[in-house]
Amino acid sequence: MIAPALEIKNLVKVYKNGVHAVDDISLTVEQGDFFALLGPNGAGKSTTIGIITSLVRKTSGQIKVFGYDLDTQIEEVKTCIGVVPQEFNFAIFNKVEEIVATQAGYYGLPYKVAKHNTEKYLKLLGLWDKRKQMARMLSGGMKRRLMIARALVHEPRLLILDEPTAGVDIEVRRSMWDFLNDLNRQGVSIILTTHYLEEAENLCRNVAIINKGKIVRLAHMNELLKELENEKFILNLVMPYDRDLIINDFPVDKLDDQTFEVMVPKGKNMTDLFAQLAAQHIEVKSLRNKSNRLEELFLDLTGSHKK
Amino acid sequence: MTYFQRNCIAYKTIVLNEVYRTLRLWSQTILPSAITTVLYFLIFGRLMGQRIGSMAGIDYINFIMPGLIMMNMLMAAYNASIFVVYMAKYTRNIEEILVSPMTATSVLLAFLSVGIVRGLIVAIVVALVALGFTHYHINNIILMLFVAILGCAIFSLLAIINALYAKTFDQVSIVPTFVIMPLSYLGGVFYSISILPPFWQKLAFFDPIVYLISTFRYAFYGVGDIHVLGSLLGMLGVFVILFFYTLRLIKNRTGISD
Repeated sequence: MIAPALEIKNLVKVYKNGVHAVDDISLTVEQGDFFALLGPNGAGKSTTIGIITSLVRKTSGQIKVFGYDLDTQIEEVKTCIGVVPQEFNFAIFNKVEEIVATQAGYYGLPYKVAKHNTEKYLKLLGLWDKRKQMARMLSGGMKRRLMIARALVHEPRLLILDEPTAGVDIEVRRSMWDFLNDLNRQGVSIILTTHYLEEAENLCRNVAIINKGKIVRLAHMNELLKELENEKFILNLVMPYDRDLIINDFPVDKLDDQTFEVMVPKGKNMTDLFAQLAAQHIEVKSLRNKSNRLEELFLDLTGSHKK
Repeated sequence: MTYFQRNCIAYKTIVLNEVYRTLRLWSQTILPSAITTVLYFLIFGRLMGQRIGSMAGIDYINFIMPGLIMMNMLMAAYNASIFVVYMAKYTRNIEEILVSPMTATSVLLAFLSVGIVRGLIVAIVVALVALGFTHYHINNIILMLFVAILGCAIFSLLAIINALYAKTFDQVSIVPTFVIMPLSYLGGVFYSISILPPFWQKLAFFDPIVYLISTFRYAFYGVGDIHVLGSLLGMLGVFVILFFYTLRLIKNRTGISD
């Protein structure tokens, strides 16, 4: 049997001030998976990652990484993991290549291997031209990429990213997604926490939603999305329509004469909607999803939905 | 590769980086010690020393020389270790080390070595400066090296503990201001403990720097204020206690994440 990339059993973390940051979490991430850890701020995601990467000491529970136990085989566990933290944590006055090569040294890579891997990952992440630059001079997106290069320099089997695309522009975010997808295809298991739910929806196959230190949902992404009670779409019409639009079984909100918000309940399909529109001689110019679908579910599950 | 080999590479990475930094920033890391030593020798050695004559049977300028080396060396060791640990903690790049498979012992030995190496570099510079003012011989070079390394190690450990507990930059200077400075002056750099009034003499026996300076001076001239073997054992004891205490702090991530 292949050991999972990560196996967490009954993990608890109580801080000295009595805060239960992680409250009995259990989850399994299979090898090769692309796994999302979602949750509002302060849900316990970063604490969980801190414990896995041994920056934070757990109160109780068991963690295994590729079958290695964190309590008894910590060196093996650490060798398997590469971590990209949420906040910048490199020596800002050091040069880009020094930061990556030094990390390789901490992992015990011989000089030649460290040099080779540093070049490889700086090139892959588009930072090779900046290698002689001081890290603090880099843009936000480059700093994120630097941390990814640093996390990969010892070629880990499990990459953990804590909000890797926070504060980077759309173009960089997309290229980062492509990079992570490639990496995952090459066999690296990836765990990602993010606030951009679209990111999780696009990248991840499995998802755990954490709230107040507990897992409120653990499922395959597709299964989770199927559970949505309804979805909202924005219709743009070809011609202005100044009356109220009435479509049976599909509640409609008028935004302006040419723009309408239509709710498609679970079990109903779009063909029915378009048939009714055609019957009323209304032509639709374009259609788009109103909000991120996962966002709706997320708000429901974490009890943050206002409606 | 074995774990031992990997830990050696990781250890070397930390120590060499810091040694390069010490040498690259020599004007901040080494030069100040050389300048203060020149001033001490000029004022205490030449100008006042001539009036004082001798202390414990040694020319005054020669008497203060081992103490001055020791004082500068301890400060240098302390500054090196506190800088590497506190700055790494402050910028959070200590996490780079803590997520790596380096054992806590290797991490501690590396931080410790950073202090020892800087201390010894400064000691050599101060000793060379001293040659410009006086001639001296070394009675027992092995003892001298041993005491030098032990002293640096103890003060590096104090620096690491201070750095881990410190929450602000101001707290970084607690040990230099309230421990090293007073204890150095009370520690017999400029006088023999035997000339102190009885009360201060008793108090001085609780000062670890007294033992470091006395044994260090003994290594140079074969004379000292206190029992050498007892001092060495006592200092070794202090080192061992501090070492395991600091190791526990690193293992528990004290001052870093909890």
